[in-house]
Amino acid sequence: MRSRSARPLFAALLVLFLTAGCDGGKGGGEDGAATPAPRPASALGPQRGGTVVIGWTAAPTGVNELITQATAITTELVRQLFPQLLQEQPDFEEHPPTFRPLLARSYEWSPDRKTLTFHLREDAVWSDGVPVTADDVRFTWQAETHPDVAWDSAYMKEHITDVEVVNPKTVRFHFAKVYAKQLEDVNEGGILPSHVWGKLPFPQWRGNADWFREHLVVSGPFNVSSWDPQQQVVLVRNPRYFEKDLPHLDKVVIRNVADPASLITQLFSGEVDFVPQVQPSEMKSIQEDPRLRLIPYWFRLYVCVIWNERNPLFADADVRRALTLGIDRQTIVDTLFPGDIARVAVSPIVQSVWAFDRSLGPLPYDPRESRRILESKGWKDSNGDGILDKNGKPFSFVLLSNAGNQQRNDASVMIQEQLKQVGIRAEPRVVEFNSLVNDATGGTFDAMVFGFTMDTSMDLTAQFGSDSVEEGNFGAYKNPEIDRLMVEAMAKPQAQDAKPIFDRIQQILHRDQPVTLLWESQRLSAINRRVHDARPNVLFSLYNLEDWWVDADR
Amino acid sequence: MIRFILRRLAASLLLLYLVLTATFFLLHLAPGSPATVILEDQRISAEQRENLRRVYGLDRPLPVQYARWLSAVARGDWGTSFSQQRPVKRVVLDAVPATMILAVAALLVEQAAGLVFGIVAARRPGSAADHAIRVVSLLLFSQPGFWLGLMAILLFSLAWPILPAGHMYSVGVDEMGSGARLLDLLRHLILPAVVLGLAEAGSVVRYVRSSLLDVLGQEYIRAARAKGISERRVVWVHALRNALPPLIQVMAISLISLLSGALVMEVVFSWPGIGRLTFDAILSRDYPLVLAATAFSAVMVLAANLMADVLHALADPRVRDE
Amino acid sequence: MSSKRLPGSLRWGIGMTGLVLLAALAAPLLAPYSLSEQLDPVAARYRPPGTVLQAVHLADGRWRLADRVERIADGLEGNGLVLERLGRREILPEAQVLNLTAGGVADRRVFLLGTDKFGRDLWTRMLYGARVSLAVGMLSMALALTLGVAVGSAAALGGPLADALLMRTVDAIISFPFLFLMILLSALFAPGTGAMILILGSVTWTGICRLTRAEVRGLARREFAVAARAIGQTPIKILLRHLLPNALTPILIRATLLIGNLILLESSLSFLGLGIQAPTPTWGNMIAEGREALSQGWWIATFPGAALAVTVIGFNLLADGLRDFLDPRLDLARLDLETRSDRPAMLPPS
Repeated sequence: MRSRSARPLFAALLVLFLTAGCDGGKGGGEDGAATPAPRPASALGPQRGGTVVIGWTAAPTGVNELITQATAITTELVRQLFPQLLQEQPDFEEHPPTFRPLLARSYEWSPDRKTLTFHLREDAVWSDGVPVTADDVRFTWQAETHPDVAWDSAYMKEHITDVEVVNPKTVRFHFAKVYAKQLEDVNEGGILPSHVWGKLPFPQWRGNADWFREHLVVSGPFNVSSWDPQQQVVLVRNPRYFEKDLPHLDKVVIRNVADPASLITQLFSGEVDFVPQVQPSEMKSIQEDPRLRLIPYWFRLYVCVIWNERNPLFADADVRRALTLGIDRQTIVDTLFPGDIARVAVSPIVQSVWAFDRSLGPLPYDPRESRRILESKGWKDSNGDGILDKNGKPFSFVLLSNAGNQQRNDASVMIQEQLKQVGIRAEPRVVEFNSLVNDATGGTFDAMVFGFTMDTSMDLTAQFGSDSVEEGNFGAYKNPEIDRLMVEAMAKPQAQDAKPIFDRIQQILHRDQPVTLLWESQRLSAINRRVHDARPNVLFSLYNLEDWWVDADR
Repeated sequence: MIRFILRRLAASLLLLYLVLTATFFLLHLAPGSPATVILEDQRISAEQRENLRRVYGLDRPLPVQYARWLSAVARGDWGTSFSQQRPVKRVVLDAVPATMILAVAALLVEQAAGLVFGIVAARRPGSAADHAIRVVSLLLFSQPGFWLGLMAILLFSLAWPILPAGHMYSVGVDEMGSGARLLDLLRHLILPAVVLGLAEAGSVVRYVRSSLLDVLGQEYIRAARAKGISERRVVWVHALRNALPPLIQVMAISLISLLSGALVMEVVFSWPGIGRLTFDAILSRDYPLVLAATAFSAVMVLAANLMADVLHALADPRVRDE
Repeated sequence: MSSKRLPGSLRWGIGMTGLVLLAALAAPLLAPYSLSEQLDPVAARYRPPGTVLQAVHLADGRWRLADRVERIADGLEGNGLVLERLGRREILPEAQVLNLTAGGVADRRVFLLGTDKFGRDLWTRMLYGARVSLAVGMLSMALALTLGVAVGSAAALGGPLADALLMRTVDAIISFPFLFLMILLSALFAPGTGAMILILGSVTWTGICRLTRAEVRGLARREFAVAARAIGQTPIKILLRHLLPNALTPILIRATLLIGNLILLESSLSFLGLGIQAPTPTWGNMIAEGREALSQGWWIATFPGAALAVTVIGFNLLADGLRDFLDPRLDLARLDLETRSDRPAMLPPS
């Protein structure tokens, strides 16, 4: 600034500039004004209108879930655009999950359960006015199973032989065999618009993600109004949604914030209203902030140490049990998770679920017993270095965990220290996720810390089946009895009848310790109190997005 | 001169080819592939994985894949992104403007701060102001960038909420008019550009100071002063005119290094630039995207070197014969 | 400036870097506890600087760290110990406690700079972290220096063909995306300290290489070098005896600046999750860890951050000081700016 008279002008511009953002956008903490005192939930009930900003650490990959990587955010987004035939209820903890009508108003089985007929809602239409018909359902099935489309979950449809259009609002699925997950498999995947997306031949689907966005018609509560995945995706109300007064919100913004620390910052500053997954270390700060609400719920994820049974160290079940006895899981849980948001896992079926065998309890932490078992197997510290050895070889291995998951990295550090007391050397190593998965599927690891999300139908085949070595049974645990029992359990048309079988399976796994279970935890979501009626759950964080509403003053 | 430029250009192209080839083979050597990305609650069956490999073209022998990719690139076709299923060119070009904006803004901050403080320091060498400037620039220069960024966010977005905590635009940006939109962008640009710029300004301060001090000691400056020209003119007109030209070369290098991706700042400030794009692409093994983003970065660096060499050759003719 | 007194910047530089180096070397002596010790993570985590806890050694081998202990006699269970731990009072019978003394227990833990999320002593970790950070900085610099001087000299003296070949190789290395290499390498094998030194050293030598080449070329044209050649001295001898010693000053200063850059580079890589992984402590990964828990324990990120700053400032001042002392006419600014090209592509200047 040369001349002195420029200064007041400059100052004025500066002030103008800094306060310019106050009226644009959503407001929140940006204008620096004091936040109003929290108001109780409005007695008037849901208000129509308003915007909610959801913060996510990954960007949605596209609107066509069949061709793009099905990341969590993509699936949540697509579900708001393309509803499924039925909506799975989050009640799988009490009993096998029930289904509520969504695009289909009812369904019925044939007596032999090889045919499933759906009746679609009369009032379901696409956003361009064209009714949703059975042709759309058939078209969706064809797309899902087409080899050039190469959908990740196509294997779920492998037992469906045909999808028959009975009349415009009635569609029939034919099965090759009867099994417990028929309804789930049919229901997987949103129903796509055949009258628009059918125009592009299947072989051209891959590589044309932009085309689907440009030719987007939806049947769900929201439609896409702007798409900039690295920054934000904006959803607006679909006026043609079949639920007449829903959704309440005018707009939902899905904002991509790569760095979890920045995401939390934006939650506190009010730029973001809802964060689906918050680190336990932030729990206290969120609870102390009157503008925010913490929503915890038990999640169906369990974390364990997978022992690679191809490695002679881990081939013996007694040795694996000794390892479990030598790991102080309660201390790990208490250290890594504040409050009561996590607990030691007992079984691959999490404790909050109906199929969990309540007679089971966790193995205790008993380093003496652990040492005794190992010594009985011939392990002695013959050279005085503190590490057990046998035939000249020390009991030493590498424990992998993936970068980006702080708890698992921390757990492996604690395990190293605890096993040292027993005379075992565990070397924690953090590797990139993709690399870890590569080692897992190839079996080229000693032990790894890994997390599994439990199937809502209690199917443990992927994690413990003898043939699932590349899918989830990375440690190559082979037990024909488990295989047989799983098949038997899954073949029961009524899943509850399989409870005794599930109990038996869990007891065998408890005895064999193919993996050392570490913890199950609650997922913590955080939301600004101006948003009401949000009920994130284990199935979807945006489960009932259409019911969310905000106070009228925004 | 022309021959010099042409020779350098040819060398740069050769280098680009080498870098891309090395990247290609190294990438495929890395464990894991796009088809092995299993999410925790989904499993891909073995058949599905094979099918994906076929669809991505990964089932052919590596040299064949290389040849196909190379010939496609020669035609200008950089392929389809695995994770986003759209043309890679578009993905990269979408990220370029953000990177450009941040790079240019940071460069402006860096040069402006460097100039101003360098001049102030040079005019009063050895004074308290001079020392203060040098100490502060040393302090700034010695911090890791992510630390500065984090502190800036804590100060100006949380403790004293006047600026946004990240991102390029506010939430309601599509409803704003273009004037308001520009203002919104500028508000989001301030913190990252200032942090990035100030972190490097120390070098420029020192350079300007020493360069100016050198020039101010010259004969013609003393002559100008003797002639009675005001000190201000002496510094701003005569001295700077001679001290600044080499700075242009430095600016060029600075700009290009900023352009090839200030990854750390992009992560801290959620800035949607090329750095983050590449990082995510590598982690998800999105081969075509990694190759294209790497090519972009390599081109930037090679362009910088080429420009620097040319400028150097223009200034110093001896260099041309090398 | 008299040449007898060391300039202020040099004194500060030597002082600061010397202090840090000394602390790093003496880490095992200065560190009160072992590096990985986690006696009682739940009770000891996130304790502020200056916390003192009583260490109770139990008969089953475990430890309990308590805020206070009190010896009781003739209590309900006979003689024993009362602990105040995690806000609760626990009573332990005498038989269960191994290190009883008249007043309490024989051991205690003093956490000078506080504890981290596992209850590990921050001061201990910082000392060992100094070792790693400095080792990475200085040894990588040594590697870069060796490579840079060797290749630069070869290019300067080896004739036009060698010059062109070598310099184009340098260009190739600069153009190569470093980040890509880092992610790849941390995927292939999680880099330990040794691997990190190799990687960093083999990527950052290019600046010194260019500098050496320019300096040696300049010096090779001077009369004494021409004369030596005329007498028949071999190029190597000329290089080692005459050229390099004269070129030493700018190269040395550049190398000193490089150390600071390398330490910063290592911390940036740790921030991104690509550097040396836990549990090996480096200041970079300690800052990254501490950043996650800023609200629970500001000391975890702050002290390593301060140490990092002091160290890097120290090396920068040392470089300044060397210049002031050895060759005040040297254009440090130009050297400084050129140093920025040490930082490879795909990673920002900071």
